[in-house]
Amino acid sequence: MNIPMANLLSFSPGAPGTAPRLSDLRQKIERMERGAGTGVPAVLPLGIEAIDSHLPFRGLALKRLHEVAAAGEREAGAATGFLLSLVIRVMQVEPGPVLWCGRNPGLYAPALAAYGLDPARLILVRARTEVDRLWAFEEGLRTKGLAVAVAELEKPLDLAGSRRLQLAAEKGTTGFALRLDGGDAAASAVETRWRIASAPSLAPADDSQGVGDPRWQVTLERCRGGRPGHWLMEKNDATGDLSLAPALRDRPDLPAGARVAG
Amino acid sequence: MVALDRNATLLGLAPGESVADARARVPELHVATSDAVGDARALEALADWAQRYAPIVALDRQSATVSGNIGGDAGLWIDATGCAHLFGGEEAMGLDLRHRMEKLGFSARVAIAGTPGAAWALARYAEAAEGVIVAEPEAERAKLAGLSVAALRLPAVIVSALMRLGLKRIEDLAAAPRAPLVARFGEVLSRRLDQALGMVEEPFSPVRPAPAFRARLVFPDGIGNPEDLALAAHRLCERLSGPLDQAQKGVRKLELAAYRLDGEVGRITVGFGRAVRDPDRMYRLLRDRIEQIDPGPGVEVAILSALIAEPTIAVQTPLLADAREAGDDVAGLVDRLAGRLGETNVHALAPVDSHLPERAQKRRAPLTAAKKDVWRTARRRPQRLLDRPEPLQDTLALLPDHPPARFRWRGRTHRVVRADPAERIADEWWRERKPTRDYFRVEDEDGRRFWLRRDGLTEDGDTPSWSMHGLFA
Repeated sequence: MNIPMANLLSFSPGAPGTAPRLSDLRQKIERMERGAGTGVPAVLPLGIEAIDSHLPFRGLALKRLHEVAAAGEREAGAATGFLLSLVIRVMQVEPGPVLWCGRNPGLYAPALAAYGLDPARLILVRARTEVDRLWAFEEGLRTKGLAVAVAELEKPLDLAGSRRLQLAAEKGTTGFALRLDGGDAAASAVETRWRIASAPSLAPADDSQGVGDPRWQVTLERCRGGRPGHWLMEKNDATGDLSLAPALRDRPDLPAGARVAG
Repeated sequence: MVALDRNATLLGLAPGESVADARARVPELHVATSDAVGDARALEALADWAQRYAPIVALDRQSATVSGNIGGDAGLWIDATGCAHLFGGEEAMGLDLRHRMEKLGFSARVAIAGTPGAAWALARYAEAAEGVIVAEPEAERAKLAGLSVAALRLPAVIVSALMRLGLKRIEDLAAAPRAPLVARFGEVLSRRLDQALGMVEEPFSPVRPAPAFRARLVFPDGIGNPEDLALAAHRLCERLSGPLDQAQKGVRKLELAAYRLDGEVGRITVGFGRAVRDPDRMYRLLRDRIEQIDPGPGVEVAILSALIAEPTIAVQTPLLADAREAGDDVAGLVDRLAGRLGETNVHALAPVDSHLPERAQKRRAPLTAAKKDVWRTARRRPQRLLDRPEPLQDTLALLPDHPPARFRWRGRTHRVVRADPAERIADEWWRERKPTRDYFRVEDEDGRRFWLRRDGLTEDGDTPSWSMHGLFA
């Protein structure tokens, strides 16, 4: 891959606590933003080589619109978990609060704190109609002082709407549209669309019948300038690290190819 | 009879008499049923309206204490300190007030004096050509001297006893030795006299607290269209920002009051996430709401009040300017969101020290987060907590103390493959005893993780009931 190295964040994959000094990162981001006219976004690697090398700029494009969708109405928990991992990652390099819009976001702060997201940085917005949610989302995307804007949406984003939000994000804040109902997606201008399903966990270290670390089947359904992909990922509950799941031990292998929601 | 008009009083009738007795003496007497609640409401509406003159207005409920009714003696106090010049002096203000009240259908007497007690007495008991009395400070005592002791807001029994003693006028009372009177009639007598004469302060309880900052515009012919109102709002914001700037303060809550030609008052209130004094920022929020004001036949006075003002922190170094600008952006965002969606719909989360999971967080205003928040993170908790636990069907538990091997939720069956040991939630002992509550984190055959709740134990003689309370990542 032939990418100008000056456009990359050097971000060491590791535990959330090891974020580089913010001032350094901001400088780097600013340097990268000067290249925004060329269409190269500031990029945040996820710290997972297999996925970073798959993404067109070796990471998640900042100040762009992304979409995370549950692969079915029962997968709201998994989709939330994967999204939270991305949001926490962005929060490490972008200062400011996180705006989270939804009908009535049922986020549970004691669990978020344990997950690695500081609840003090959360601003929640309750909006009854999709129009209000989109309006609040767009207002958030335009705002420079936010770290991330998230909107729980109930309808697929259309082309015109997603373009508008994408434009807003380019001048302001990294955005994630979250679809929890497992519905279909329409053609849209989002930078990436991720489809998330749960995967059975492995037995915990003590080999009991207890619940192990969360695992997700992560499908990159759409990626501007890149190809779709599929990975089995695991989150280490103790360290907060996201990684590719180690080889399966006692479970049948997953069906080959991307699983797309129906 | 609760209240009488002027003609009835001149005929010698008095409140407290029965209607039958009064009819016997004056057969053509016109009687209307009294409406205590309606009267009280009308007086409050009038107090609201009277704030066009000055921010501090208090109700006089004195006359209501006797019969529970607000009769013809009902009154208002307006603290006109520093406001009369807006109307061309005290007398002009009094005349304007009286004239406008007449147009609203009230006959009123107005007195302007140095104390609430003196104003009360003069308004009710002094002779006045135009219905307006202005007591200049040096003439106030002389004007009060000749009035009946009834003008001192004393209970009727004390007034009649004083009359019997020959102490008919205020000057008689002021000249009499104080101690024996107080011994006989109580401290109220001395207090009312001193209050009227300005010897002691009288506490004043205004209908609404006086705003620290206030700006006012008058439109003699009234304005009606929304653009004019918006323009007025903008000018008021500019006027308010000067004094705020001088005081190094900003507003957290603003109220725009529109006083209409017909006496109605329309108000809108907007809140800010942090103290602001930039007129454009104040105006932007007001503008979004301005259509909520119904101008009716026209708005003649518009008043912008800072209901909550707080000190703002001055920026000292240019280094901070960037961060401040970003912070201002976020504060502006919060204001806009709250303006459109409602203040309670834009919030942050604060920890609550409770064992009960659903009580462990509460909403609070955004951008107020204290750095000291401590979240209990020791236990496994779901990232999404359902608003209300949803009952599960067809639960099958192999052993009484085990999680179910399968359950049905929202119409679909899940087979439990993995489960953590139960976590028992201790009831808060000061609350009513509830069935024992246990939580299980379980995983189904596809890896979905749920937080199941069980209420009641077989060993306690309860039938356990199961519900879904949260979703794990």
